[in-house]
Amino acid sequence: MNTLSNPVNQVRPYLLSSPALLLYIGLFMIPLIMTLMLSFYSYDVDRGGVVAEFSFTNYVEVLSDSYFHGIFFRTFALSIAVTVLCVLLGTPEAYILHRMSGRWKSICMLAILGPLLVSVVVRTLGWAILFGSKGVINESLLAIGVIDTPIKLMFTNTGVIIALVHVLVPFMVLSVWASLQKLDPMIENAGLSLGASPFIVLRQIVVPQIMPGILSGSLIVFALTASAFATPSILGGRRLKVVATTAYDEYLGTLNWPLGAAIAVLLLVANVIIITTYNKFIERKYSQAFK
Amino acid sequence: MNKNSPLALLFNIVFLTFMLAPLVIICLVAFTSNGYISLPTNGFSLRWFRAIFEDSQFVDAFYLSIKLGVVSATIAILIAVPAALAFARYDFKGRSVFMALFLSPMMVPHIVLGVAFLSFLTTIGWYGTFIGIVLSHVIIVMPYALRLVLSSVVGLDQRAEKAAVSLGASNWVVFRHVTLPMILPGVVGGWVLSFITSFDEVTMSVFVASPSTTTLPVKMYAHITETIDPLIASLSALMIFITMAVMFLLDRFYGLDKILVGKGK
Amino acid sequence: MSFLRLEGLVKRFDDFVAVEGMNLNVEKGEFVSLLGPSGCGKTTTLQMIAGFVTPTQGRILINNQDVTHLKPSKRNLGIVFQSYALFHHMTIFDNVAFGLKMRKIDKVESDERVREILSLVHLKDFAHRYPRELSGGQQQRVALARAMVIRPEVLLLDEPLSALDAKIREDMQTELRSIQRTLGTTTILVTHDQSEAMALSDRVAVMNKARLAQIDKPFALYEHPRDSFVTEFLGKSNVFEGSIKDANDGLSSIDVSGLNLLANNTDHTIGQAVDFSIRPEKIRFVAQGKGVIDGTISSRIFLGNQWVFQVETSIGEFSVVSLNTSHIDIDQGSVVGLDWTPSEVRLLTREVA
Ligand SMILES: Nc1ncnc2c1ncn2[C@@H]1O[C@H](COP(=O)(O)OP(=O)(O)OP(=O)(O)O)[C@@H](O)[C@H]1O
Ligand SMILES: [Mg+2]
Repeated sequence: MNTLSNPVNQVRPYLLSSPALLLYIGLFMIPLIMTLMLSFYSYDVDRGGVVAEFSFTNYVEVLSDSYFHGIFFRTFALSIAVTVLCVLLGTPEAYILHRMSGRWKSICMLAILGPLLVSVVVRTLGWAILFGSKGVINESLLAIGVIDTPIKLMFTNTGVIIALVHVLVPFMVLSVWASLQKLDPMIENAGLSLGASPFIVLRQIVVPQIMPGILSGSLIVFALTASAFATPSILGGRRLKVVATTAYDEYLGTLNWPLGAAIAVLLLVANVIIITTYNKFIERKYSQAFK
Repeated sequence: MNKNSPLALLFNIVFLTFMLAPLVIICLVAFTSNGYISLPTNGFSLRWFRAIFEDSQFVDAFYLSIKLGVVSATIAILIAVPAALAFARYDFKGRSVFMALFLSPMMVPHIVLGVAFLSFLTTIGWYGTFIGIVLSHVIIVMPYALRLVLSSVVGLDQRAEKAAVSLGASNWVVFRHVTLPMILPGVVGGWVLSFITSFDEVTMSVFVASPSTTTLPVKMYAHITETIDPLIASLSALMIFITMAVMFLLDRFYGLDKILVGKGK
Repeated sequence: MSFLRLEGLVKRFDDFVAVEGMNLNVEKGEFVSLLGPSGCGKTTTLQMIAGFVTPTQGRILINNQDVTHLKPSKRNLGIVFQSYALFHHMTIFDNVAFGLKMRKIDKVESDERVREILSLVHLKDFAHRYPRELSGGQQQRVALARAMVIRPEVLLLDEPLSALDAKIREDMQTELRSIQRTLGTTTILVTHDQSEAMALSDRVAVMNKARLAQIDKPFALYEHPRDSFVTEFLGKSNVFEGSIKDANDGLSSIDVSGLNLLANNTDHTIGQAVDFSIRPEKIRFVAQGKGVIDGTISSRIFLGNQWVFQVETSIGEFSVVSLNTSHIDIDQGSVVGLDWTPSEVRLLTREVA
């Protein structure tokens, strides 16, 4: 670290970070504050659209209407389902990758992480093609005789969940992988030498030590599912609305910006609350054993 | 040496199939000669790839997305480098607050950012301008740029810089000839990740894109919600091929994992 | 029969030979060190005994039972890893109790044994801490306690002290030795530190290039190394190429660069090429012309408890070590005589390249 006594050094960090700071104040904080304010305005077609008068109308509407309750509940349930599936699939996969070596490991990594670089729209399109009633999944299931009428995946919760797991599970793998990397490579041998079976080593030694990775991975997956837009919109269609698609419809469909803003603010607040409580929980639980 | 059991390897195969299936199906369907979504059963055809280039809307959107990605990634890097130097080198009042602020767009759902930028840009009259959409993308990619640059600055050995200063080099010369070459991997990685993030972004862009500033993902999204045809499949396949090419180049010269760790939070 | 036997152990990784024809017999309660340069196959040998690496050839016997293909969890060995490999999510107490839990030993007895071993390693006040909250030396003792509490038939230590700084290392060496004596556990220690090996072990096995070079008690090994590798690995020595010229009256005369030097008789034949070796601390300074050979001091270094001199002679450079017992007034450039008794000289068979 440089010495702080030098007066130049007291100004320099502020100078260096000032472009970023200006950018964030002008283009991040102000828009967010404007949205917050907008969410307290109301919308009246007769009075020419947005009315700049402070009121709680939008929040009252969202929080009391069972239509919105349903949407928030669906989003929450979807997030839980996707998160659980990502944990169940991503954790073992990360562990398997961790135990591989050489060329195969790099190839598998590429196959799992590569899709992260492909737009969500493209990945969702792939599932839409697979899901169609004439899609590959139905055709092959029909062909081997598992089913005799096409199963419906397009515009169903199941379809949305499958696609979202596909979109988000790489984050889970990455997160667990990172905590496996920190694990002492001899830790499993230590367990074995003390008489534990491979399964017990996994259950009682490996999993508890990578728990922070699993938990932070779930947090990422949960937050990203809760605010996912393109996938639920394409695969869920108009009927299976989630919070993000609802806000979109209010904004660009019915043009009720204040209501859309209120929904967005609620999503943000819910996100922040969940993330901070979850972090607190993790910290409390693991502060002693992990730094 | 492979320490995985046969069951684990089976799981791995199923998992990889799951990860690749949607991408593979797109690439197959893209070569169909039929006018509807189907596997290329009667021969491979490039008809739908030709169709992309005849559709001026997609071509325009593609160029716009490239331009948008390049400009916003470049601006983000130019702002992120000095900020990263400040964070890594100085212990100043407000350091942790600044850092949290600069990384926070990652925590804000993109739909919220979209809503916020739409109101903001409309109010200041920049809705539908290129500069408007660029600025919104700069905010989105900044955290990624900052994190990758920061990781390379933090690992930097400052002795080389001190040596240069002791030899009488000016601040600029030190930065240009000593610091920059050393942090270049982080800067390049940050730029690439920023470009990709901007190029792929759809949720926020759906709000800020106007008919004259429609990005490729937004155009594709709009197209898919109307109809799913072989044209969109071949366009998607093309994007997959380009991504694969970029990926192999990156992996060759840089190490893909280094860039991708920046993507997870 | 020895308690632990390695019979013709071989390990190959693809074409690479990591361990070749390893034979080793360790008695019950004995402390043996595996000493050798980096990459000579020490860890691989240890891992084969532990069961983490499967030998390509050969057998491992513990207590007359062939364990070559037994699972690691069934071998009843205690292992202390270089990195300690403590379970960071468990308290010290739970770390130590883990092996007993796996053996389904009842709670009362297990608690008793854990407390006992923790007090033996002076950690009973730390039982409810987590590994991160302990110093390196303390963590190392937890690892030792965890390995010992299961009363293993053999204790395996892979460079357990190399991560510690010099002072704690010495303390830990003393401690390790006394704990091992108290419990009488057969122990194999891997190290590349020759003073550690000599200080701790009943016998030291020196390895070189995947093979066992020599095994003996520390003093015997130091005094009677079999070849120049062992000689130089255990400490500095002045080694010169020569050949046996003559042997009678119990003394051989060796031709080193035209000079006749004496040494005790060995079973070498006349004319055979040998390495002539004399350790620096066995050489005395005498007046010019009064010793075996004359030389000029080319440098001298003071190391606190001793002086190290470099002496240029007609057959090459000698290194001489003198204890700092009194003021030594030998300056750089002065001409001196070097003297030693022929019985201190070692004649080593030259390795034919
Ligand atoms: N899994 C493996 N695959 C291939 N080669 C290996 C493997 N494990 C060890 N080796 C090689 O075998 C040789 C012996 O390794 P080993 O770890 O036993 O050395 P060591 O004597 O313990 O060295 P050090 O003092 O550095 O720990 C080394 O050259 C090493 O590169
Ligand atoms: Mg080793």
